[in-house]
Amino acid sequence: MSALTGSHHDCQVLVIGSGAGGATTAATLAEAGFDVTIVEEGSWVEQGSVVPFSLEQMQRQYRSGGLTVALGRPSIAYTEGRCAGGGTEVNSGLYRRPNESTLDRWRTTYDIVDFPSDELFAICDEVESALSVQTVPGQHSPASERLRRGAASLGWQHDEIPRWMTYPDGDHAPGQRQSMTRTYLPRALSSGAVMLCEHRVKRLVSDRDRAFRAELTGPGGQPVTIDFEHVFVCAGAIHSPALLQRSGHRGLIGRRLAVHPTVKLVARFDQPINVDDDVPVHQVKEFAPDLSFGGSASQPGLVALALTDNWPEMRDAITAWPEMAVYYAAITSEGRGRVRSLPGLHDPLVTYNLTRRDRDLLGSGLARLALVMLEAGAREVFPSFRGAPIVRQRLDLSEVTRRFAATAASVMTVHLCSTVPMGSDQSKAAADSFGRLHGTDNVYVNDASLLPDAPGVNPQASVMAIAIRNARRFAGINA
Amino acid sequence: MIVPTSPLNIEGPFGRFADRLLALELPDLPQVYHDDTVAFICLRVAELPSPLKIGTSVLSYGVGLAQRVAGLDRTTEFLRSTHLPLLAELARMVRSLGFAFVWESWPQTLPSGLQGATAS
Amino acid sequence: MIAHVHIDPPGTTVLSGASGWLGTAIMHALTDPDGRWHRSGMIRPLVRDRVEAERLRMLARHVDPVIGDLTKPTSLAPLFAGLSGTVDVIHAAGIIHAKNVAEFFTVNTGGTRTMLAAAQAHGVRRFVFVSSNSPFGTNPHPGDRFRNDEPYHPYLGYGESKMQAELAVFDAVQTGLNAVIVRPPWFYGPYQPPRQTTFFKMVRTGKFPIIGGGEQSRSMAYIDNLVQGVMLANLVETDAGLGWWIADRHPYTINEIVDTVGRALVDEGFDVSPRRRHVPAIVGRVAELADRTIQRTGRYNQNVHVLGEMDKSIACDISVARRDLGYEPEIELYEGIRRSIRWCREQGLSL
Repeated sequence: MSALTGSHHDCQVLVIGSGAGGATTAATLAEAGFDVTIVEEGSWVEQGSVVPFSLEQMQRQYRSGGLTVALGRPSIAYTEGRCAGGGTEVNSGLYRRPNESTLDRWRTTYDIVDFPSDELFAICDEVESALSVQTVPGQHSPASERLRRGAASLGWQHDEIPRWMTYPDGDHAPGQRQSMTRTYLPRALSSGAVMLCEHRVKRLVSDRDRAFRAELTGPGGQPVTIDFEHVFVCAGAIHSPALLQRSGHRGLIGRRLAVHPTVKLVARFDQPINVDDDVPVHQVKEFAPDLSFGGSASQPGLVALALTDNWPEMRDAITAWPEMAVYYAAITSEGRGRVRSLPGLHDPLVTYNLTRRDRDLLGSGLARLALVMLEAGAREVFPSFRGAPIVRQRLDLSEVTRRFAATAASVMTVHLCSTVPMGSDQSKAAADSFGRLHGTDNVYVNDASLLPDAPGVNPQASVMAIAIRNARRFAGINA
Repeated sequence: MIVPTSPLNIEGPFGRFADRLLALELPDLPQVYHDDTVAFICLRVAELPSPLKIGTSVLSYGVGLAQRVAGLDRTTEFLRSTHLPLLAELARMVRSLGFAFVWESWPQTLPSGLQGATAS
Repeated sequence: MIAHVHIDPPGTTVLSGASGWLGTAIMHALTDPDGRWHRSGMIRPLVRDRVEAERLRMLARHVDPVIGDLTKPTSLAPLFAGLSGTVDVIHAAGIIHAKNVAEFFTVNTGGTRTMLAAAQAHGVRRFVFVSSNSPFGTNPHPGDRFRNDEPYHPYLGYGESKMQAELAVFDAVQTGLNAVIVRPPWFYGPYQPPRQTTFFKMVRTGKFPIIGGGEQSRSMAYIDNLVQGVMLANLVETDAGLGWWIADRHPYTINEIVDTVGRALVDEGFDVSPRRRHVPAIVGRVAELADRTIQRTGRYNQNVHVLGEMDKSIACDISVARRDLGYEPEIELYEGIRRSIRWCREQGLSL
């Protein structure tokens, strides 16, 4: 890794952020011969040096230690990677191409030009090969297998989601995550890109429609400036709009935050099923895209966390954590959120409003997920909302639906997008069909912010495919 | 007496509340573990994104006032059981961070905080 | 395709609720000598009074009505008296709009328990319980479909009473009764009660309130489709304790339903107002709230209840009934509504 010091740098293309959007942008442009500098707010953390899904990982690789919240009724807790490789270093590694119908909706609703599905799917092919996207070659984790069994028993559609992982031992663990620090970032660096970690961009300076300088804070808090010809903002769906707002760009930026809100439960089985460093790879897609079920990380700390809402009634179960696993129900939301950068504050204010339909869907989703768990053989199910009953039989599900209120639930999300939606319809889109901010000459956004709405599947494939498409287009024009 | 500079640090009203609440929820947690957990909670809260941190600080000033007027125990008991928006979040935050930390660090912990063997 | 094993029709068919809307249709199906569901064995309908008994007795020689009251277990003794050979029970009695909330439970839950106990005491071969969508509440959004297995989410007093009845059925299955459940949503067709005729009239005069955008979805069951489902649930061999949605092939939107009723009325020669009365969504919310409040006091108001339910989606997926029973709905909305209109006209009802 480069460790440049000093207070000023020059480059042809500045890429801000090194996650799924930034790393692919940097690699594509560096390989096309551009002089690229990548800046990353977090540190470079070698894989294997922290336990996946642990509190230590949250401390080192998540923004604000994982304690980030979109305020609302209810508030929605979210997490963002803040490290070299961004979210790809810390997420579940599940990979889903966008659906044809999703691409079509984006194309038509936002008037995205020159956005053929076959081009995107061809890029997906490349990505899948670069990241070794594959299913688990051997045994699945017990928690994943239980989810599969429950869905199969109800006759509900389900499948295994492939991951960008290699499996040296054949079975589910230990998988080797093919994240950005192992794939696209080394490619960018070996093609001459320079990477500055622990550098936070405070703002971009523009002269009329052209940005030319980034003002940063270095690792010791010292001021740094970087001058560039072009800039790609890839800081994620919260911090890309926040940076743009700090730099004086407003308009539609940050107004249409989309997420997949999720609610969760803990299921207790008769046998040990808890594994501490892996998540289930099966998902239940019977109600997709509106509603999907999957499994979450389930270390004992996370099991305790999921029981917190009803601690007095549910705490006795915690000693059985080896027999327990956490599962989630995720919805596509009609609601929208906002990211607002406020003067003088380091972080933006994030808000999100669920609609009535969203809240109803979360409730029926959680009850349906509990039904899957009963069918999977769960002895007890502990839904995560204040006042939830312990579910032991089907009749108890009527209490879940009766007592559920989204405002009493621990709602969280990991898929954030759509804060700088792309498209040529300037009444809806903040960036053009290739990610250039409307009204600017050389400010590009190239991350999850561009997705016009939430894709209903794990979004990393969509983010990478669109980022590579846009970077290639840029390289073709500016070669 | 040193006046704490932030209401969120371990000596301040938030720290006192976290300390008291955790003692009520996990009474048998060994003192060293208890102290580690409170320190962890305060560290994390100090790293909250700035808008949340400001909100929590403002609430904590109010909590500090209540602690002086109504006493630490009564204030803690109220915050522990209230469902009022925002105020309820304080206890929720302490519990979430605390329980996650305790069971990740010492998975054999019993519901009272006592250290024992886990079921298998 | 799974081969469905059909058992022989029973020596005696006991039918509760025989004078109701569905019950009447079942009686006609069982006694129609040219129909697919004709039974030569004895038909023993349970009715409430002599007038109903005489009306049903006219249908066929082997109809033997019994007058009794489900809420008075002792009055049911004659229902199973003197029977030999196989006996099946179709329990179609129920109350959908009651005087008060308690009556839902007396009739729907208590009545079902009574019938189950009598059936068990008399060694009944197969017991079909006609339930409802109401134990499952409403869909979270218009595109959602209830799957065959769903968590209970009873909608108010009626839904709760039907859920309790289903639970009583499962209890009986546990103790050896071969019982299954048919779950129809809103049904329509000949023998309809006055409330349904009022619905046609409101559509014709442009007064039917379409709440919100009218895009909420509703499963409906044409009465003959439903009869088919009930007959198959009776006669196709399956495990006990199963339940199936029985409805038309696909759910409809409220707009589609209103438009189709209007079109069918025009095609049957009626003058139909082209107007549509659109009502803001808030009216449905307020009505639901009022309904909940009223029912909490133990009372029941049909109009408020119907209005409160009008902005909801209640849509189900019938694929498991098709798979398990070989159920194939034959009539769709337009044709079904035309038949209903013709029936109204034959009855001399003004629309």
